[in-house]
Amino acid sequence: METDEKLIAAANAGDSEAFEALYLRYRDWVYALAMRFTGNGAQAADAVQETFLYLLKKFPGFELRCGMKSFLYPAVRHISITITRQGRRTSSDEALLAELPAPDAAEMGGSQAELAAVLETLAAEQRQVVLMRFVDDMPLADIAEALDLSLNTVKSRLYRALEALRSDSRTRRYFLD
Amino acid sequence: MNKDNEQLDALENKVAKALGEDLKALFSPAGRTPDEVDRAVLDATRKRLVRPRRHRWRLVRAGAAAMAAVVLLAVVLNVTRDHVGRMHPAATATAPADIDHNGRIDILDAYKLARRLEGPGALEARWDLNADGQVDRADVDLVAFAAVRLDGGA
Repeated sequence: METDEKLIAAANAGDSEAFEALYLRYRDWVYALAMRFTGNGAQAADAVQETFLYLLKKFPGFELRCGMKSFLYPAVRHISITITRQGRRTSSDEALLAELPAPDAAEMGGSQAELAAVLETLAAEQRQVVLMRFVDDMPLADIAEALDLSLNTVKSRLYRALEALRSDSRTRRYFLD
Repeated sequence: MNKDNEQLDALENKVAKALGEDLKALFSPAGRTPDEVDRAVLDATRKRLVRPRRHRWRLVRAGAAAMAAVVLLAVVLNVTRDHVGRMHPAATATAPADIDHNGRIDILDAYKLARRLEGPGALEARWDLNADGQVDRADVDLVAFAAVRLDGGA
């Protein structure tokens, strides 16, 4: 499998198939992320399209200076918020993010419902870091890059979030000690 | 800060695999990216990014080489034909097909060029008669063709 860097170099040289490969590699992740931000399939689909058209416009001449997910994450977040705002009149980005749709408890098993409930008690910025770490499988440095935060801040938020999960009896079982 | 790092590392090491699995299950969308999004993005991609035209360039270069070969052959034939009446076989000191510089283009030039191709000696750029960037069997054929044509016309 070609690396992202090789595909980007080929796309910069005009190879549309290289860009298609990048799209297919990250499409579903972007869709899942957009769903997380919008909670709406149609809006998430719009966000996927807008995100990749935004990326496409950077070619030729695109330089990736971080991980691809680190590059895409803020774009998906911004585009999703913009699309959501067009449907709702909300005051700020943070207000929108704080309203991130939680998974429907009726569709989950008991343990997952409890996990979702505990997640809701976390601060939005802590929840965000937990999801980037465990759902998106992003390294801490990439999370810091994507959120434009220091690595220490990311570590601090993740530590507090995990401590909160560990100290709650409903999610204590996710820790081995 | 090292202490904080160690604390986080220690805590992450205690996280069971099930946390990630349950979080992924919670936050994975039921559907997948709609086909119409695929079409829109891929159509835009094909319009914006131009595939490298290697194959087309190859054709252009081959065409140019063929054209150059035809012109060169015509020049070789005309120059030699002009001399046919005066000296037989035709001669031109500057003809690139005159491999052995004896003032004549004949089948021996083709033979000598073929030998040079097989031997260890350096090949001269002027022997690239069809202008395809290399001196090879096709150039020998051109010399032979010119020689036969001359002999036939003599």
